Amino acid sequence: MSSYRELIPLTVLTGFLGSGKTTLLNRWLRDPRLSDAAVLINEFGEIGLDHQLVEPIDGAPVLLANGCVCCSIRDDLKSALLRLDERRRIGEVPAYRRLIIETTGLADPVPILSTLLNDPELRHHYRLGAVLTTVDAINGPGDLARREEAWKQVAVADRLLISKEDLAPPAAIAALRERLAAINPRAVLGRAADADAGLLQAADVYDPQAHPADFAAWLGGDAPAAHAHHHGAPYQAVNVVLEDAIDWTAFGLWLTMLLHVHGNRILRVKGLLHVQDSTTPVVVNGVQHLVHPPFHLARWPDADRRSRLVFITEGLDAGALRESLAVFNGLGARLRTAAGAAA
Amino acid sequence: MCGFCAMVAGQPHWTEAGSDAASGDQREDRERRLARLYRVQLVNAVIAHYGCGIEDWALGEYIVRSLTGRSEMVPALPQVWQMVERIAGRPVDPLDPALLARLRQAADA
Repeated sequence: MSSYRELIPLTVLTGFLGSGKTTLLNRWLRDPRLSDAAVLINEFGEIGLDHQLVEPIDGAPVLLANGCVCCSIRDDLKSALLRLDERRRIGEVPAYRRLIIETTGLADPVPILSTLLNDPELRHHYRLGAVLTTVDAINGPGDLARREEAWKQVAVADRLLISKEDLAPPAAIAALRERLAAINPRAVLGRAADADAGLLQAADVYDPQAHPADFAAWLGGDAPAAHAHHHGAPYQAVNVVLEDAIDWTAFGLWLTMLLHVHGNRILRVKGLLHVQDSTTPVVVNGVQHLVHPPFHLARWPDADRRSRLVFITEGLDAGALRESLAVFNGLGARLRTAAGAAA
Repeated sequence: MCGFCAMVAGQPHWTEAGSDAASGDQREDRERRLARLYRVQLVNAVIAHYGCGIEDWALGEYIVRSLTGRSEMVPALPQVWQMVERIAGRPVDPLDPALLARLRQAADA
């Protein structure tokens, strides 16, 4: 079976209505670097896409019995992805090596991400690459004020691309940037006008060619922690830093337990861990209850050897998370001490 | 599908596949077995707080047991927490101060 990193990467391009997704996609698809890309789109908008392989997605989300929004499996998306893979396999469509999904402007991206991470069939063919979110410089502030979907599109993004910057006054752009950084300080913020096709690879930390600098950007570099509930934000970014090396088994207990009970309040978790007995850092990447298979980077992206985690969460406290992780991380040593004392 | 136990084979949960799961689980069987036994030991230290315990079953599943003898077989950690929560009748929360106090005192037991 292929390793996770060798699967076909799937880039999710999202953003609210009219925020310039299709314009961006049209520009990218004219780039030779994306000649091996296929595109799935959730709706056919007014702007047609001139590309050899564009497929629509039909249908409605199906909610699983447990009723959790993040676990709602989008059967339409799954069917479209598997159908496309089958057509690729039998040669009906070109052997694409990258897939881009353009969501509807009104889409909550979380069920899309959960479908990709959670479905056992899809996981044999595809992996999640990066989430790119366009934000309209003119209408973005209003969308964020009125629509939870717009919030979530920003909160789960790896990269935020502001469109129509030339149409908005500088003060409005600055306010929007501040607001986006408050919602998701760990996403790289850029101009849609500057975003070329190379961004799809640069934003994908699972790409085998990913550069450590790309990874540092993915984790947010030196971005400061968010101002809690800035501008009434429903979500905030909290950082957890641990000086001690991580006991990987204890970390697995802690994170699965945390996501079990608080997953509905954690939109995104990203991390770089210094694991005991390992010279290379481990990348952790999750969306609500679901976690990508972790992997080791070839080397550390910077001189900092501490374990760093960032949660985009609703109401979880950084101090409580840090304390809990530290207790779990020391559990193995305490058990060994207890066993030694009893012997 | 395993013909013996009629379980559907699938990709292992990320906690079972080591810290480089995305590159495939490269560990030797012995290393994998030791990691699993250690995981059982740690989980038991945690879920004792909820009156439960677990055992490994054939290196593929876990058996969650309550003090009253109820037992269920589950495939991985997320289902362990679900089952313990069902048995205990209260949330299984790693941020719970009472749980953390108990874990801190593990060495004094």
